[in-house]
Amino acid sequence: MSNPSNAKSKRKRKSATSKSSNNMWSSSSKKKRGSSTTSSSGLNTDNAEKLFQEIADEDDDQVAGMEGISQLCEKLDIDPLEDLRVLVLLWKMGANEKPAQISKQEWMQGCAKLNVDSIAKFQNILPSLDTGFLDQTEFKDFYKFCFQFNRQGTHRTLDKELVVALIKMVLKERIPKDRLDSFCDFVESQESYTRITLDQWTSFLDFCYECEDLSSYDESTSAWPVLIDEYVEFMEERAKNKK
Amino acid sequence: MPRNKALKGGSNSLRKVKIKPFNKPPTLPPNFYEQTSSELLQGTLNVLERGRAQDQPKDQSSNLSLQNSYNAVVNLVTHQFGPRLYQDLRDAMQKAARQVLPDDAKNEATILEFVQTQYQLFVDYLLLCKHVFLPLDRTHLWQEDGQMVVKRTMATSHTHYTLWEVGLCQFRDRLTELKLDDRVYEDWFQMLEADWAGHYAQRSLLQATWHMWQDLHLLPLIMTRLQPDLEVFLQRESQQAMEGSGGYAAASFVAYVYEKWMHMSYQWTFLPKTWLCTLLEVHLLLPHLHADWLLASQNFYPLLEQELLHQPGGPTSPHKSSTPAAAASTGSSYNQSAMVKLWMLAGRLPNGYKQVATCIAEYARTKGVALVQQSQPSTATPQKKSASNANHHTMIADLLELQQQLSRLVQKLPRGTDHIALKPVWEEIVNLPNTTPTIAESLAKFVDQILKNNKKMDQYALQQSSSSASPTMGLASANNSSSDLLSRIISGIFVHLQAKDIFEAFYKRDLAKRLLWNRVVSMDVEKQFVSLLKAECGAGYTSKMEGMFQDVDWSREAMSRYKQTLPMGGGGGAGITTGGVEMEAQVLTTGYWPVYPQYPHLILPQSLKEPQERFTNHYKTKYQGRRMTWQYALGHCIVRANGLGKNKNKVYELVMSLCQALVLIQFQSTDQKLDLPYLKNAIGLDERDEVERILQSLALGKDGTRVLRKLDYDAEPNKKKKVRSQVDDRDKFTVNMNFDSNQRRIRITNIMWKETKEERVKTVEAVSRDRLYMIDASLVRIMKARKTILHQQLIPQVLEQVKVPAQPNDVKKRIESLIEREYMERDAKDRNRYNYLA
Repeated sequence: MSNPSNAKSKRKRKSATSKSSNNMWSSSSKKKRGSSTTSSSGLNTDNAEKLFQEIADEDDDQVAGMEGISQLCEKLDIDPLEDLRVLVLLWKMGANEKPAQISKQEWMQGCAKLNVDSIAKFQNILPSLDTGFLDQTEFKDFYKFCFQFNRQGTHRTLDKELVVALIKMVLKERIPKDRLDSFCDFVESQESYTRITLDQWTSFLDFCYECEDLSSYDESTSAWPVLIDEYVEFMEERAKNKK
Repeated sequence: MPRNKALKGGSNSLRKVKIKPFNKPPTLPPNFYEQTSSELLQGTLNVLERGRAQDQPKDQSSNLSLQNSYNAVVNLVTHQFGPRLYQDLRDAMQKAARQVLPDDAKNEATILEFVQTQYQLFVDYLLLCKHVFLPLDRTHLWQEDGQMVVKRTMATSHTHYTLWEVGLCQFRDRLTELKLDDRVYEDWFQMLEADWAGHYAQRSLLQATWHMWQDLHLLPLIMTRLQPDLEVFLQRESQQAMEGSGGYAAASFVAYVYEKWMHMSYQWTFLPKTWLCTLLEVHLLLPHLHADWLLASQNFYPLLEQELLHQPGGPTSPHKSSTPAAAASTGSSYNQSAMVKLWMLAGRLPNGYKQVATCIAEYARTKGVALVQQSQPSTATPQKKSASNANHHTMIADLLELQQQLSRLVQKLPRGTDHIALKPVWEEIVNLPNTTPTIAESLAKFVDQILKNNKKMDQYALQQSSSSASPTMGLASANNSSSDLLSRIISGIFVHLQAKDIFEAFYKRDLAKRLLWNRVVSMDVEKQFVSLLKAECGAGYTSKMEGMFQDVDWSREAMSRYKQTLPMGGGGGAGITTGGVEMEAQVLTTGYWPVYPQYPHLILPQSLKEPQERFTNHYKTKYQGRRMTWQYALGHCIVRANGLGKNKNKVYELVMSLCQALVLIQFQSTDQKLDLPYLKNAIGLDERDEVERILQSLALGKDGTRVLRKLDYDAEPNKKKKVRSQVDDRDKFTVNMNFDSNQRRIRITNIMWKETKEERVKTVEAVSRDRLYMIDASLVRIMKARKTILHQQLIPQVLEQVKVPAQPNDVKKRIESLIEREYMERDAKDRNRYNYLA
């Protein structure tokens, strides 16, 4: 039961992600390309490739894993564990193929897109990588990317503890603090949940955007995942207890 | 005359003939009017006299025949005396009214009768007047306001009166003048009350007076007085009825109301029915109906049960008691007839049937829910397990009983089946959420009980059939009633059950136990029940059960064939005996039967191993390619034991499970006290819990089944202390040498045979796992067909497709799971929409 579906889904995901990446960049890359030609500085692909070689895995020079990405961060002088900009960078470069790594092809395309070929240039664009610059749809996509990128190998869900840490980091400046904290409290307190699915992950952000007032939440008609239902219940319970 | 003139003219030709009019026009005699009219009026008035003294011969003073009188009126009217005549006639009528109601009429004792006879007299008079003065009536009308008589034209308004009306006015005015009308009304109402109370009353008089009021146009006036009076009266009466009738207040009140209703509507025909209807509805029925119905029915059912228990199987239909006396003597049938009466009564009210039907449904609901809730283990008073178990069984029986009663009642009520739909109520009761154990489970247990126990079956069947001694049920022979009970279980409870899968799981497990441990009382009844299930749910539902029956049948045949292949003679005579052990095997098809624990490392003694191997070989050679495993958990054996107890020669036959026997055998060769870990190793059973359970069943069962003695390791020799029920590894066991029992064959119940908690949980889990697959399948089916669908549409569709009870939340979880497995996705734009991913 699980095997064929796994295989099927893998295939599907691949096609879906590649499609989405195409879509994602097809419109913006044109603009970028236009701007890069006007700047006429040109992109030194050799430099970019060199950069990649420096961070590529020892066993496989076509991909750069977490280690390599950490190295890159060191060079850029940012903290890979705390700084969200790493993720934004990776997202912008389109590291979609597999979680926790970026392939050479993705790297090269990303460099072309962002018009970077050296550490200095990377550092130049760093300020623009703040999540505050992302609009809602962009952020949604980035948010989804965060989940996907943090998956472990073939796992399709994230560990609860990782989710709490990650979500606190990613959503820190996007949603009200009490909502974020209470949700983390809730997730931690629920023993029936040990892992969080992508659906639950993305739904939470949508939920935060769409449902600011919990009192108007209607469990019977909404299509929210049960996790959200239970979160609302949890909050109601909490409100009651406070009274 | 002209002819004469003409003749004269013939001789005298040019003479003109002149016809002269009378030089003096013909006149009526001067006193023509006075004479005629006085004669007429007197003549008509004489009728009154005649009426008053009926026996007297006809008065000679009136010489006029009716024909002459009529002609006289015609003449008078032609001569323009109409208005005058009308005036005089009116005066005459007034006079007549005075005559029939003289001033001293007040002193009459029976005013009602008096007024009535006088009124009849007056009406006779008036009738005559009407006939005689018909020409006058046809041409003239009395105008009230102007005291004028006008010509009758097409345009007559209501202020114009005919002769008849004018006459009645005179009578009415006279009544008011003498202030008689109040008295008449009061007397009339008294009489009405008397009639209600059943005293003698001249109903014709009541009626006649009513009609008189009607004729006199007094009715609206009377009605305004009657209504409040009647309301007060009815309320008082109903109050009395409630208070006076003691225990069966409500029921008898219903009967009372019904009787009164019949009384009013059939006997006081003069009272307008619709009006009565409203009156009754407003003041008698509606305020009481709901509460009383519940009361009535609550009184009714215990009584009915009582009565039916006292005459078990009585074919006499107590509900047909027609005479009130008989009805009163047997309280319940009285109540039922009251019920029927109430029903009929309700039929007359707008929405009445519906209301009563709601009441019945409500009653069924409250009662049924109460039954179910009673069976729930209450947290406040922790009951013994056995007690709550018993509750579950009686709960089903009670439900069936209740159902019986109600359906019988509904059939009893005319057109009851059209109006009363109890199905939704049963569905609600049977599917009450959050019951532990669920009703499906209780039902399965109940069925298990009655199928296992002939007595119980008969008891319930009898109870049911006796209470169902209605003509439609007919014969109450034992066989019929038992099958009747089964079919009622199916049609009464099972069909309403949503959680048929739970029932199936539990029933199947119990069925397996019955079949394997020879607890089947009647194979026919078992098969009948399964066929009933099949008829209800289709072949798929019962295929495994049927497979179980096949296995058992086949095993029996196979075993007898196997026995024939064995060498005759041997150890103990006929059959297969090796070392004194006779073995029977049943071959069970995997898949049909529940999964039982496997004890792969069980160590069998040589005496058992031999026949086992022989059978294995036999089977494997005969059916090559089949895989066979031994289900040791299901094995049971008879162990002969002697030398126990006082009577050393007595041989006991102990019926026990294989594992129990294995434990027991360990004690055969040694006099030592053994402990649990040793025994566990000796018999090769891996689960410690299981060994503990076996030891408990052997050492701590009922009196007379304790073959072993348990010695607590920490027991102090001097103090008598109850032996602990838990088994510690350090506890020792020894053969109970004081074993004593009256019986020869003793069944040692294995605790495992009984329902263990884990087993229950496992069954429930298995069922809910199956349900998840069902929901998944249904979701995918719908998604595949629709490709894209809104959440709000999807959920109901799934719930409809999935027959078992499922909450929207369950479905949601499955949706999420499918999303995760990428069978579907949320629409990127519309969160409430799902897309199918193929």
